[in-house]
This record gives sequence, structure tokens and C-alpha cells, in this order.
Amino acid sequence: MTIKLVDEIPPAHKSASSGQDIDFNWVMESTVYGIKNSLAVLQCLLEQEQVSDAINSEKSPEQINIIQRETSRIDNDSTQLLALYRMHNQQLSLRIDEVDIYYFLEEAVIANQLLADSSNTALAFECEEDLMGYFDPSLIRSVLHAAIVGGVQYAKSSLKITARSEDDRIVLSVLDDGAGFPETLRTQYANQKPLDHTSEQVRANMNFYFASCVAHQHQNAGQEGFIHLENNTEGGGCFEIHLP
Amino acid sequence: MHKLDLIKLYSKKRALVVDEFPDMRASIRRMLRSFGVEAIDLASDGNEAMSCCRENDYDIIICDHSLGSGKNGQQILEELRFTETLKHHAVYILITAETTRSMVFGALEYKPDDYLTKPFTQAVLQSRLDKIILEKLFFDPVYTSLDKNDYERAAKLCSVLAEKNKRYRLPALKLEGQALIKQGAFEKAFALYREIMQQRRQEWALIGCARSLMGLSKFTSARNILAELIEHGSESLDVFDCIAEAEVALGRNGVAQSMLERAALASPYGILRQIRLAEVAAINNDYLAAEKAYRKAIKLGVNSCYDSHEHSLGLARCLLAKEKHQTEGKADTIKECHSVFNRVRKKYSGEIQIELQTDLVEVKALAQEGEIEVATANCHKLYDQYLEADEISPQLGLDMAAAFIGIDEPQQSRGVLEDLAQRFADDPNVLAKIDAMADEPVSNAAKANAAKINLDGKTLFENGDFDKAINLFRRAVLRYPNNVALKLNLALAMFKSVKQSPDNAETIEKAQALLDSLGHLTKEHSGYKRYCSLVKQFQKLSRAA
Repeated sequence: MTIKLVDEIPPAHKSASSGQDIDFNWVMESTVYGIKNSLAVLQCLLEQEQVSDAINSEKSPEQINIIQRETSRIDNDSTQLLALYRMHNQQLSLRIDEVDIYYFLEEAVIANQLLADSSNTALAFECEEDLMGYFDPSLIRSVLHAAIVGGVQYAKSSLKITARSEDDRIVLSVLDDGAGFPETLRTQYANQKPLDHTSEQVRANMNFYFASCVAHQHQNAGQEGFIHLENNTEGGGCFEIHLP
Repeated sequence: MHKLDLIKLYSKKRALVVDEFPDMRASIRRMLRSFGVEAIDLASDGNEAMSCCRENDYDIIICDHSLGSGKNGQQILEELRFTETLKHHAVYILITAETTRSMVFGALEYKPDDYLTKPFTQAVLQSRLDKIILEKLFFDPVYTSLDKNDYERAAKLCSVLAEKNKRYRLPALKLEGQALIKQGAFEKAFALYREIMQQRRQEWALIGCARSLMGLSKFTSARNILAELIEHGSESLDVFDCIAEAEVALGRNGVAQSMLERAALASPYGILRQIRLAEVAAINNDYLAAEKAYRKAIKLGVNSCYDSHEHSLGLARCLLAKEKHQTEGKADTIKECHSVFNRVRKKYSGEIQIELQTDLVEVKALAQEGEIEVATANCHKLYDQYLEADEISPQLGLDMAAAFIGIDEPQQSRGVLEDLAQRFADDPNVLAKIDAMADEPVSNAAKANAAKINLDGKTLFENGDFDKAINLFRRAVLRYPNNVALKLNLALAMFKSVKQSPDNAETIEKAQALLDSLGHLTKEHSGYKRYCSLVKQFQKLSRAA
């Protein structure tokens, strides 16, 4: 009978008291959930601020813009944290959906409009109206948002998002008119292979590592997705994600 | 549409915002106000939301998924649609956090018009809502027909609307397909989906093709389409649900179960899928899987409109089947059964059918714990009630038959099943369950099927192809697990196979387990002599080995 009683203690309870084997899946989920809820409330307050700011336009919007940018960052980072954690535990299953890419890009622009306005960057998108894609919209959205937040920071005056269909793949790209990506970064992503996250350069930029992981998770008809970084002839950086 | 027209459109809408956090409720209300909505109600949990919906007709509902104890956002939607409280033209947006992905996506029940992930900006909400509102406006006449269950007219309207605006062509065709299937016009639906496929191979159109084929009882073709989708890496839960349905119709319940298990793993919170999984697993005699699924269904059933006494009684039936094979913990299993009965009686007190069913399952429990006299007396008393019942549901009949088996009165059980087969002669699902319980085929279909299997088996025997014969009978036994003749034929095929190529300890072991399961046969049974001779033959074989 005593043995049975020990059996009945749930494992989570047992481990919590000893400080080991905490159910990290649960910790991650509830922490990120909490962060997202707080961000949602902040976002609402921020927008109210901006509305009142617009009314008495004498106030400088700079601080609010920083809050805006950092809010987006926290949002993206916490999404990435959870997704990478799940990937690590083989718990991330893609939810492939049919996506109307025109709307998808339009919404990415709308969602980041305040951020772009604040840094005086013109944000635009270009896409054929009936382009459809098959991918996990939620994951690709966070890749795209992270690329936009990064791009806005490096852009001089404009950022353009485009989508096209190429060899049975959908290619989403984010182009800025800044100084471009450094050589080392570009060669890292040149071979279309998943990245080794122990490498120092890769560690320096989580966003690209995350984008690369998400891209490679997308597989279809023997093809795998990948990301690609290059510089325009005019010098700006161009981030691309290719999805089969 | 111009911005002013949109504001005008919004001003006529009535909206409900449901969120746990007062700040969020206030913010979303402020956003809706700025779009032009004037009538906005707020609710903080499922109960408040439901009572608001009973009092008012909403055009827009924005609801967070997570709402504390009580109903969640998906369950509110289910109940609104289930009770037809929500009109087809109403917009339902479910707000989710990244972390709740598995909870809401791919629910078999009902899908909201859109999902929105926290945090979101006012501009994003407006962009989403504008799109949905305009699309709903475009399809308004279709929704009016759907609200009246006039599917024929809805389908016709869709086919006109599809040509009117390029942007809405695909949604129009999707809606048309759904309406045709609901109307039962499967030929037309199939033609429509095939035409769409000719322009572009799309998953939803393929699923539509499969659904139409199933409507036309072409289950093999439907299964092939879906299997190909899965082979090509489809992760769509629709595909798994649909193929499971086709496999059940084809009598391949084992495959159906594994498909449902895959879907349930990806989306563990869909209650209807858990129920289906439990039922299919129970038909497969996979009581452990069924028990697990019933437990899940009971848990998910709290606050859900899909809650039913059947889940608890289903669990009790699984527990009783498990108890028979248990070597330890038998008493605990029976104890849990009794507490299940108590819970059901308390929750559904006064509902005669449910009480009768509970008493019948209890007969089995009593018999299994050794109270055979009480069980027998109860069973006969309950049979009188059963004969006087106003209405006999398939499950009530099956429980009556099972109770007679429990007190070892197979003739009585057979009588109940034969009567039940006549009552539900048109329902293949019920007939399959009846035949699965009976020791000899009851329905005409099962009789014909058994005859065919035996004939095929005979040919294989004559050709000395015993391994194929084993396969044939093993599949048949899976489908009719209590059929004595099939089990004896399987054992015979195993015997011949071992004779042909000796040194097959595994087959001998399996055959003995099979014969053990027939240990209840008595001298009166027509297969008793064959059974005894097989038991003897195998004893000889195992001694020789």
C-alpha cells in the first residue's frame, strides 16, 4: 500500500520539490503566454498614446517609437524562443495552410507600419494579386516580421517586401537600401543548408538562424526550403526565404 | 468600397467582445468604435458570453480562446453553431496566443472565420475584419439560404457569384461544394471539384472529391485519393478524418484507428475526434486505446455541448473488457466502474433511457465481480423494462445483448441482436456493431460476407495456400471478433500451416491463445466438436515441439 501511495504523486510535483526535471515545456508555454498577453495590453496602450499624440502633435514621437520597436522585438523573440524549443524537442509540427500571399504581405506591412513611420522608412510591398502559397502562416509571419524589424533598422529610407513564384517555390524577400550584409554573413547562408548553431557567426544573429530552421522544416515533393542573403547592385541587403 | 461606406456598414453591426482581461476588452471595444461599430457588448467569460448571445443577435464576435475555468473560445463557438444561435453571416474571430496552437487548430468541430494572434495592432484587426465583412457581404444571399437549410439555392447562388468577382471565385467554389454535399448532390459536387482540379491541383478540392465519392458509396476510390495525399506529405487533419471515415466504411477499422490517432496527436483537444477514436478503438477491441480516448473525451466534455453519458458508459465498457484480461488490480477496475455508474446516475437522474443503460452495463460489472445471482436477477428485471421502453436506441439494444452475454445467456442475447438488426436494417453502422458483438453473423450483409470469406478460404485450403488463408481469416476475425466459425477456421488454417512447415512455435502459441478465447463454448454449440478436436491437435503439436 505504501508503494502505491508513492506512485500516486504526480511526477511534476515530485521534481519541483527536488528542483530537478522541471516540466520545461509547461514553463516555456506559460511564460511566453504571459509575455504575449502583457504585450497585447502594452500594444493597446501604445496605440492610445499615439492617437493622443497625433492630436497634440508638438510632442516628439521618438520615445514611443523605441517602445514600438522593442515591443515588436520582444514579440518576435518570444515566438522564436518557443518555436526553437519545440523544434529542439521534436514537438513542432507545421500547420501548412493555403495562403493568399497578397493579403499576407499586405498585412505584414500594416502590422509594421507604425514602426516604419517612426524611423521614417517607406514600407511597401509588391506581389501578384492571385499568388497562392502553401506554408505555415504563423511561423513564416514571425520570420517575415523579424526580417522587417531588422531591415527597418538598417534601411536608409525604404524597405520593400516582394513575393514571387520561382521553380515551384515561393520566394519571399525583404529588400532594404542600407549598407548591405557583410561578406561573412552572406557566405554562411550561401549553400542552402541548415546551419550549425554552434558557429559564432550564427550565434550572433538568432533571427537568421530561426529563419533558416523554419525554412528547412518546410518540405514538399523532395524539396526543402532555405534562406538566402545577398546584396543588391545598389548596395542594400536582400533577405530571401525560399519555400517549396 | 469607400471608407465612408465601410463605416456606415460597421455602424449597423452589433458586436460582442469576450476576453478575461478588462484592459483588452476595453481596447478592443475602442478599436471597434473607431471602425464605426456602435453597439458593443462585453463579456469576461464563457457564461456571460453565452447569455449575451441568447439575448442578442451578433454580427461580430471577437473572443479570446483562453477564458479561465468555464468554456473556452472554441467551445463557445461550437455551442453557438450547434444550437444554431449564430447566423451564417456572423463573423467569429478567435484570438489565440502562439502557445495554444495545438488547442484550436484543426478542431474537427467548427472553425472560426479567422484566428488572430496576440499581440495585434488596431490596423491589423481592421484589415482582417474589413476583408471578412466585405466577403460576408458579397455572399450574403448564400448565407441567408444556408440559414434556411436551402442548400440547393445556396449552391446555385454560389455558382453565379463565382463568375462575378475574380477575388471571390475560389471561396465561392468552396462554398458551392459544401452546399452540394450538404444537399446530397454528390454527383454534382464531384463534377465541380474535378473541374477545379483540372485548373489546379489543390488539397481542398481533392478532399472534396473524396467526400463526394464517399457520398456515392465509392469508398475505395475515395480512400485512394486520400492515401495519395498523405503519401505526398499532407498534414491536413481533414484528410485524416476523412480517410478514417472511408476505412470504417470499408471495414478496415484498424487502419481507421491509426489515422484517427495521428490526427488526435496533432490536435489533442478536438472532442468529436476523441469520441470517434474511442468508438473505433472499441470496435477493434483495443480497449486500452479506447479507454484513453474516452477519458480524454470526458475531460474535454466538461463545458462542452458534445458532453454525453455515452463517454462515461463507454469508459465503463472498456474497463470491464480490460478487467477480463487483468491479472492484477481487478478489484480497482471494478471499483472505478461503480464510481462511473454513480456519477452518471447523479448527473442524468430522471432520464429513463440513460438509467436503464447504466443498470445494464452494471449487470456486466456485477457478473464479473462474482455477484452472478444478483446480476442475473437484475438482468431479467431490466429486460422487462427494455421490452416496455418507448424507444430503443442502438446502444441500448447492444447493452441489453451484452448484459445477457455477461450472465451467460447467449440465446437471449442473440434474440435481442436479431430484433435490433431488424429495427436498424438500413443502418450499416449499427449492423456492423451488432455483427461485431454476435458469435454468428446477424445481418444479411455479414452473412453474405462470412459466406464469401469461407468460400475464399476453402479455395486457398484446396491449393495448400495456408499462409494466405491465415491472413484472410485473421482480417475477418478482426472485423467479427466474436464469430466462432471464423475463429475455428483461422485455427484450422494455422494448424495446416504448421503441419506443412513445422518448427513454428509462434504460430502454435497464437493458435492456442485463439482457442483459449473460445473457452466459453459449451457442448450445445455447433462448433464445439471442431473446437475440441483442434485443441487436442494443438496440444499434440506443442508437446512434439
